[in-house]
Amino acid sequence: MKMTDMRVYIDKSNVKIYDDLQKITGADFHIIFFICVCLAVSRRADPQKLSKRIEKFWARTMTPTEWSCIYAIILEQNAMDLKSVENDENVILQMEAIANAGIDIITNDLLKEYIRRVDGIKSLYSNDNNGEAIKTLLYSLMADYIDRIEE
Amino acid sequence: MILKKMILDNFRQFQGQQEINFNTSTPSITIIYGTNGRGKTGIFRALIFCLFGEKSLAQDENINIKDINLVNTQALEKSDGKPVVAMVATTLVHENKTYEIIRKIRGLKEGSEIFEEGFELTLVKTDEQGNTAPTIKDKTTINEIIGNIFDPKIKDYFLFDGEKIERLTRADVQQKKTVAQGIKNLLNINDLENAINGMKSLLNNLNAQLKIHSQGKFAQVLNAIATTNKSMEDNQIKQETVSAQLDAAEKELRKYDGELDKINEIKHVITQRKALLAQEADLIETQSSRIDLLRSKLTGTAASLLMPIIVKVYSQLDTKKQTGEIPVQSKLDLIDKILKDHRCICGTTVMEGSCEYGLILKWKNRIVDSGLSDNALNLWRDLNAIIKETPGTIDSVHKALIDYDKNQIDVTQIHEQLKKISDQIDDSAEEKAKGFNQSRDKVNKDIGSYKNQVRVLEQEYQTLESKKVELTRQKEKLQEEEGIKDELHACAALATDTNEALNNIFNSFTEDIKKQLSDLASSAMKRLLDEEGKWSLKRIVVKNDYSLQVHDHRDEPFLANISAGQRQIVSLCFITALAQVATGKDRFEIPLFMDTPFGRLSLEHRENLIGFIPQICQQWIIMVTDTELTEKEWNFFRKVNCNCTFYKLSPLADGTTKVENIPVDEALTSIQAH
Repeated sequence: MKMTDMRVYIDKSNVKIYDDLQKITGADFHIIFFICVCLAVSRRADPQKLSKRIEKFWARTMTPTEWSCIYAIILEQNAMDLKSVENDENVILQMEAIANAGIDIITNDLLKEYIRRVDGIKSLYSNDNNGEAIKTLLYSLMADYIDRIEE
Repeated sequence: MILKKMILDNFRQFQGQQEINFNTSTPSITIIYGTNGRGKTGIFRALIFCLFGEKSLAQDENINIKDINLVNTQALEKSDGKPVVAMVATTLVHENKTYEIIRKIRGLKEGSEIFEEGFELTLVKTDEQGNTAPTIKDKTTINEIIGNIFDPKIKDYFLFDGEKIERLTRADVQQKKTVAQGIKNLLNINDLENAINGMKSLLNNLNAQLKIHSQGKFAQVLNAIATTNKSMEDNQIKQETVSAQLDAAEKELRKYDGELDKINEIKHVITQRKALLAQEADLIETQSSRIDLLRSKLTGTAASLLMPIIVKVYSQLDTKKQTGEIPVQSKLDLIDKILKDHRCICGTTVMEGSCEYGLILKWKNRIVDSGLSDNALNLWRDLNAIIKETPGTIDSVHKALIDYDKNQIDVTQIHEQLKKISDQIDDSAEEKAKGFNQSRDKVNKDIGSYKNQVRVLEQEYQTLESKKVELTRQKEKLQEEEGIKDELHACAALATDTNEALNNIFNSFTEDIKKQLSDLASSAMKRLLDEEGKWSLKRIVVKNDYSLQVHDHRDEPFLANISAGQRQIVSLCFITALAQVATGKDRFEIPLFMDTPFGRLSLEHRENLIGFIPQICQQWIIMVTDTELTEKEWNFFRKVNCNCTFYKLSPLADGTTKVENIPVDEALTSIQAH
């Protein structure tokens, strides 16, 4: 597995949101991508196929923990068929669709207070030094974690 | 003289009739306590007005007397254009006789203008047996009686305010004038001064006449004397002009110093702001590292959302591991060995084509390829680690969030404090200070130049004086040689001798007083200074030019090096010395009024002053602000062995002031309430 010399794509409509998210949290794209994946899976959001794919970051920037979690998701979805995680390209392709669903959870729920619309284009805005946006994200993720535990 | 009572009616801030009963035990202290603008100086003004009919005080030197109103403004507002009478009644005891002096002034408000005029003055005298004489209404008689009790010339030595104390701390023309005026008043030598001036004028006339009637060398000498006299007069005029310019420049310098002081007053706020900014920078740095920590927790926290899936996948991988599906490489090696050796590890023979051989072959084919197996094993390990770490991650995120919030509260608080401080600080303060400093430097240069001019003029004057002495000697010699003995010459010679004699008398009196003042002021200074000051400062000297100087323990001039608080001590010592000399007693019998005297004094100096004044005067009336009289100063007053009365000046809703007598036992509560 782990074909690291490959690009990860996001939907063109989310490029600005990714850039803004990076700006207001200071987090790298692979972290934002991974959060989107986790949120979508956790909330059982249906994967959304990318309408127009735009390269965003290198797959090799993803951490071992992120890869492990992603493989776990794929294995779980494919009845523990180890062959389902044989090809990283396929794995990432599936994750892109999942992350595409997750980004909406971030903008519509977790960080909705940070959303601004200028000329109909969604963007995230914060005038502080990353701390508050990260805090909001962490509190929301922890709340989701507690919900999952209680389930 | 003991001041007994004062009744104020519609006078200055005091609307309606209000009364102050001064403490009359000897020694005694009457404290009049109030915030700025409540009318402490108004009480002092009331006494001066009642006794001497004067509207202005020393501190009003730059105010037009027409702008000083004594009638209560609120009463004038309410009077609807009708006149309002303000009254001050003072009761005092002198040589066992009681005097009640009532002075009234009438005010009228027309539009925005207020007109005031003296209205009535009466004096009632009661002797020691209680017999009351008929009321005296004649102003001249009353002024004469008051003058006998309290010489108006020396009133300034008993009634002084912070401004006067402050003025004496400055080594400038004003100081010299105040000291010189004080000494002249003490000597009561107006007549002597008049005689000196008259004699000088007579001498000039006689010399002028002599010049007309003389010839030859004698005429030349007389001419030279006349020219020298003229030069000396011109020199004096120039000295006065330059002194006036110097005076004005020094006033201007004080004005800039005052402005710079105001800016300096906010220096501590600027320092506080710097400290807060440093604190803020530390907190922001801490916060930045806390944010980094929070950011590093994003992946772990997000991963925790997948915990049910991770646990599920992990347990299934674990089962596969338990059942031998993974890892496979060692198993494949073992199977291959069994198949090759035809012998199982239990010792059973496994022949090709046998049932066992078939089963083992089937097992081998069921095992996934080895690459997949390795990855699955790694994933099993990683997921195991994630499962183990997640509870810890969640706990650490929780703690990091609490720390972040706490730090953020601190940052917000610091921000608020900084905002408050910034509101107090005029950002242009530094620019203004720069401007003031430049103007100050220019004025300072002018002062240096004026001082230099004064010095040159003084030297010129001394040269002229010597020249005059020499010329006079030549004149006398010529008179002798030429046998000029007519009446005119005899008159001129007599006038010259008399003039010299009068000047000698004047100088001798002045020297005596200067010495007395120096001795008394030095003795007071020793009692008022703190230990360090006592060691470093030896005595106060009134110099020939009437300036005050302080000598150090080596008896060298040291005034330029002493602190502002020590300068104030020097002023207070000189003022009390003037009062002592004026009465001719170590402990004087005239009430000593002090308005806001603690200004720049340190706590120890305040304690010393509070202990010292009751030793030299029998009735001390002190007016203090809330910043001057705190619990500490109050305790110093309580330690002094004399009776104390406490009055508080409280503001009323309409802006007027209420005089309240507070029992001494409750005074501290009143002070603490501020």
